[in-house]
Amino acid sequence: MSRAAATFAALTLGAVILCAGCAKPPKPGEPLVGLTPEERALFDRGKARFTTVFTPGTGLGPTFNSDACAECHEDPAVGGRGDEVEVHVSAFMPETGFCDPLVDKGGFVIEQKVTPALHAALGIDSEPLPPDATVAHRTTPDVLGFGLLDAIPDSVILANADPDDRNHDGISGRPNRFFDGRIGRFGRKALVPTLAEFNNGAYAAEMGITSPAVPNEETVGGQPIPAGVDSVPEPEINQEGLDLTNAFVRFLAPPAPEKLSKVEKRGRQLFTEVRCNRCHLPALWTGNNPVRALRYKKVAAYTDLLLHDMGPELADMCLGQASPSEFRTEPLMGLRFSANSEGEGEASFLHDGRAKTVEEAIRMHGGEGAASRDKFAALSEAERAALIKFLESL
Amino acid sequence: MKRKSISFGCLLTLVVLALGFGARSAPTTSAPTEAQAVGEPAYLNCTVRAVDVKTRTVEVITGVGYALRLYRMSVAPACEISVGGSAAELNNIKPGTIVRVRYQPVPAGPKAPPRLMASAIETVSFSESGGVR
Repeated sequence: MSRAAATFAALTLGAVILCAGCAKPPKPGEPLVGLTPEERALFDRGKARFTTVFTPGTGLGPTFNSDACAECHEDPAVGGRGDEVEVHVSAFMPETGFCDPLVDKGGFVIEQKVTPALHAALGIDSEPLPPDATVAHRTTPDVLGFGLLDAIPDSVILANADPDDRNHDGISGRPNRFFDGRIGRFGRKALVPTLAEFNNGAYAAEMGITSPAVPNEETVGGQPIPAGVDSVPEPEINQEGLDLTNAFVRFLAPPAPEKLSKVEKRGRQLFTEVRCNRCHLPALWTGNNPVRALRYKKVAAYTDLLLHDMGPELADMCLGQASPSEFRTEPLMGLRFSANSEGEGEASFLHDGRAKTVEEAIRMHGGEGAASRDKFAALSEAERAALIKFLESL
Repeated sequence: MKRKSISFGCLLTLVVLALGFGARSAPTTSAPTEAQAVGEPAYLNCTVRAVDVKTRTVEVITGVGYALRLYRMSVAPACEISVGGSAAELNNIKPGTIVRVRYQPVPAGPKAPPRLMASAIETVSFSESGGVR
């Protein structure tokens, strides 16, 4: 081989290696990097399920919040956030600490829409609210990167828990538990243990679609569905449909990290200085996983997946072991989609969308977040702006 | 010699306890289904919603994700009840407690659907269920 040819070969090899290292990060709604061809095929087929629009003729309802997964999770791409706000209810018994999700009265998800057949039978436009229930509103988050959150071992969540605040830092995170005792992580109250269960449950609770995982229809305010209102035989979606939907959500890539400006880097520093990072942990690690793209990965989720007391001002409903004022540390990954929303509806933050800006959301932190809120308030205007710039880059 | 037999006894106890724990944590739990045969026992991990000592009934909650379901169960007269590993009475089971129930459908009459009968109720310790997903 001539010297020129050898140089050319070396340069070509170098370019190939360089290109591999500089592969474009996934855009919102695209799959994780490193999926096998088979996993990628499942993702693509799952996306078709996620975007499938149901009708009463294919099982929708008779009570429901939406007719497709992607109807809510849509902005800025399929799997993103939505402007829909749900209604949840429960009843807290302060004397015993027991939280009743009011299942016998249709809780805890109160569906906001009904099929024409149910409307004709009962004359209602939404599932009735149980009397004396505590009513809470919940915005629709994006689900990008949730497969990575699912792959974080319980042991990692437990390792960050400090229910009795033994380190005396004023922060005492604790895990929530599902009704069967398993550690939860999904949902604003960290109720649901796994992503698959969250998705399978959503088919029933959000769309009224029965499946092998949830073979029975939801009630209407705790009462059975009137005869003849839903004639589609159960299950209304098969196991393959569930598996494909789960594959799509599981393989959705997290928001790609953005190159930080000088101001944003300063904001990241301030994020640590005011101790936001005590609950919004910048990174967690996944454990062993059958999917290589989910195995031993760093997840820049900015959450500890634990419950924290956020004070009486933010308190609404209880759920599982979570008291009315306890909320899971909201993952901040994907915050840029809310902050820079170009979809329908105005930007909104916190669990119920009461904050209209990131700064407002920070100032509404109470309870265990109060100390950081006060430190934030004490920053100079430029420093506060830098911190917010950083948050809006996540 | 005596010391050796004590050690052996301890070891045997540990093995029996370990096997017992494995057997306790091993059964998969399943919510009642229409396909479940009358008399077929199953286990369910769930949260107690209500206890009625007079009628010997319990209401328990479990589900899948946000799709929760409520089950009413009769408590058999010979139901084995334990709280924290010690034998207990039905009135010791409080709302909000996470329990493991052994139950089975039993006939409720010629036209009525089978009712659920609990034959064992034990409180679940968090350390036991902590790592199970």
